[in-house]
Amino acid sequence: MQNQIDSLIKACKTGNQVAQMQVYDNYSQAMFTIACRYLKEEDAKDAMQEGFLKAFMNIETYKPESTFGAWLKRIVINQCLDTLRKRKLEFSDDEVETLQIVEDSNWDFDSNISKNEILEAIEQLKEKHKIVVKLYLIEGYDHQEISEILKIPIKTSRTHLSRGKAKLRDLLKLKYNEARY
Amino acid sequence: MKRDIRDLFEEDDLKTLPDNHRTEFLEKLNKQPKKKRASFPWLKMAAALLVALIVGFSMFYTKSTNENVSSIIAQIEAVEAEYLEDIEKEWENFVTIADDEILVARFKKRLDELDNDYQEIATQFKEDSNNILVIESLVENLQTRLQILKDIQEHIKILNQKNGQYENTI
Repeated sequence: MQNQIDSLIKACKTGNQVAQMQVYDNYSQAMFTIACRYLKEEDAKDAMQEGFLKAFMNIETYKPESTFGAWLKRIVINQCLDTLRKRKLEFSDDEVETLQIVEDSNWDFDSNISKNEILEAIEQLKEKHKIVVKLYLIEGYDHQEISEILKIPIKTSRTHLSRGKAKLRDLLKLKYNEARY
Repeated sequence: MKRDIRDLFEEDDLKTLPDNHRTEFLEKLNKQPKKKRASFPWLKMAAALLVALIVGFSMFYTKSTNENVSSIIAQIEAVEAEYLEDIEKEWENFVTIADDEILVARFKKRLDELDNDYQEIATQFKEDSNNILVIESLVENLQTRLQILKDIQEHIKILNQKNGQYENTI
């Protein structure tokens, strides 16, 4: 598998279109799935394809120190965020930067809460909290990476995540109480 | 019972792409400015030699008579015939190993386009046989066609090797 990808990437570097389509076929569905976490399907598809075009344009800069999939994922996510930015979404937030946040790595939630319920709750968060929660929780990026991707200070990333999580707990608690009574 | 929800997202169900996404992407890909192809060095050398020869010839016969011009034309025609023969050979190879009508049709279209360009340049060449730029673009056109065929075959070879590997592992 790895050899296959390596030889495909090599062929892509010469601008070989058949190889590019092969790479597209290998990764498009996974990348589309990622893009759908940030955008509606139509926009997600466009952002995903745009991401691939960018990746092929800049394939020389790909270094095998990360996997090709991880490299591609970062490009696709950036593409999604660009689309969101065009809609004037602001990820940074001056007011919070002076606040100190106690780092809390406890993500234990009631095990009756399903993945879908969590995803639905995430969608209800404020946009800037939502993005950070998704990047952290679903994509598995750390604060260093999130701060690079969103071009915000690490502190802001921590703040957004912490607020997002608190809100998430509230939303899910509410849902649970409602269900109980 | 509590559980860490970070573990929940390690795997995700894949979304299904719209049916036409591949064709759409291919179109987008085709609209991209082409990267410079890494061409075979011998091909470049051959072209350089050819151009040098032609320049040499036309310099030598500065008092260009009709005869000299026709000798250049004859030279070009010889080179052209050789290239076309190579292209034809590569094309047949490609069709044999490709085993994919859509792919063949796509490359047929590309080569036809190049051929149309070639006819246009050839007309220019007839009008102005001493123009080195025209001669260069003729050769370049032939080279491009050869290169396209070589690239695709190289790729098919890689694919076939991989298929071979799969079969071996099964």
